[in-house]
Amino acid sequence: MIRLLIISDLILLMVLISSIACGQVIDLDEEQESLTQDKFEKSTMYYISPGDFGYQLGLRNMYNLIESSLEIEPNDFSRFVGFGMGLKRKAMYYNFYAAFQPFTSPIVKTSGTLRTVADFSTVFAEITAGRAIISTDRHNVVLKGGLGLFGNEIQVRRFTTDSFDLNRIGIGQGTAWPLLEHYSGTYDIALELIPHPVRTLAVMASFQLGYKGSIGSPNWMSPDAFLFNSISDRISMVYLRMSLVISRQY
Amino acid sequence: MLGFLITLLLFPSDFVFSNEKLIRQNQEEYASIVIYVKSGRQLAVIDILFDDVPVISTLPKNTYFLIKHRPGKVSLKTKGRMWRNLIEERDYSLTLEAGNTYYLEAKMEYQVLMTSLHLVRKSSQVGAKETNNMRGEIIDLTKSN
Repeated sequence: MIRLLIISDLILLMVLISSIACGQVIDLDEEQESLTQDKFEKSTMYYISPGDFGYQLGLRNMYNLIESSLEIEPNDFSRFVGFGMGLKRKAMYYNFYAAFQPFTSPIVKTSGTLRTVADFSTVFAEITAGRAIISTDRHNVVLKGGLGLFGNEIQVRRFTTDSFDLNRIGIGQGTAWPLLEHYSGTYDIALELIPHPVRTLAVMASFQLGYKGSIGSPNWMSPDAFLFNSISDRISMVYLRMSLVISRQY
Repeated sequence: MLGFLITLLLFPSDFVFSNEKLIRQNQEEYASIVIYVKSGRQLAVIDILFDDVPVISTLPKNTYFLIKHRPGKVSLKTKGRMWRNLIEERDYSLTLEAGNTYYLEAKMEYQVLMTSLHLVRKSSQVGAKETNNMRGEIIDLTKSN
């Protein structure tokens, strides 16, 4: 809720700014030949991505195990919120970006009075470098490649939905599995569509379509207990990232 | 047509002289402003105003507008017709000299929650070259001023 309020405040602020950003008379008596965008060689950029959508094609070993053992079907579709920074030098783009899942929806299976709940959460971070391979009058299409870290956590718990005496809070009424963690290095390939900034401080929208794949196939671990018969998994995720880019030009 | 040829054969120098004089008179009476759009779609409805009067409202791509205007200082404005607080108003000034042609390229800029229409002054050579194969429309403001 706080995040929604912050985002709505930002939108309101930008609407107010846009309504007052006028008044200066531009003298056309001198020939300009181009908009100011061609003069900018350097930019620092800040990325805010409220809509970063991923479709997980990997992690099949753990997902199959959970599905067969707990009869819970993990959701392959994830929504992330991310933040990042970037530098632009002529046609080259350098970025750092990190994202997490703000709205994790637990997957619940109820059988009689027995309820099983599995919480899935994912975080990732990446460093990318890219080059504008297509440059139109208004946009750059940037081919990016990079390396990153991708982390998954799964917490499973099972309890009865019978009435519970709060005076017996010390005893509990269910079972929890150890927290399961999987961290993997990733490589990243993406195409980003980003406008040319026209003014020294620009707020732009960027769209990025990409793929993340695992480097190696690490085993699942747990911070709570040593895992016997651990299994390995690979990350394989297609994503679409819509970002708000605040760009300062030099 | 026959009459024209006979006139040309009988009074060639007078005809050419008078025609040139007429053209020169016309050129000296007004200046021409060519506003053109090379590419891209106009996703917002933005008017171009001359001295606060809307003159151009739609900007199809690959099109130019030749505006005949009296000499002197003219103020131009790009202003949204709808959702005005999401469209930046931009004010320009241009000093017109009779007989001269001024080329302005109209460029849209789409930012998050803010759209702008920029007018960019181009040289005669560049402007003439870029508008060479475009569709054109003439707007005469000399009488309305």
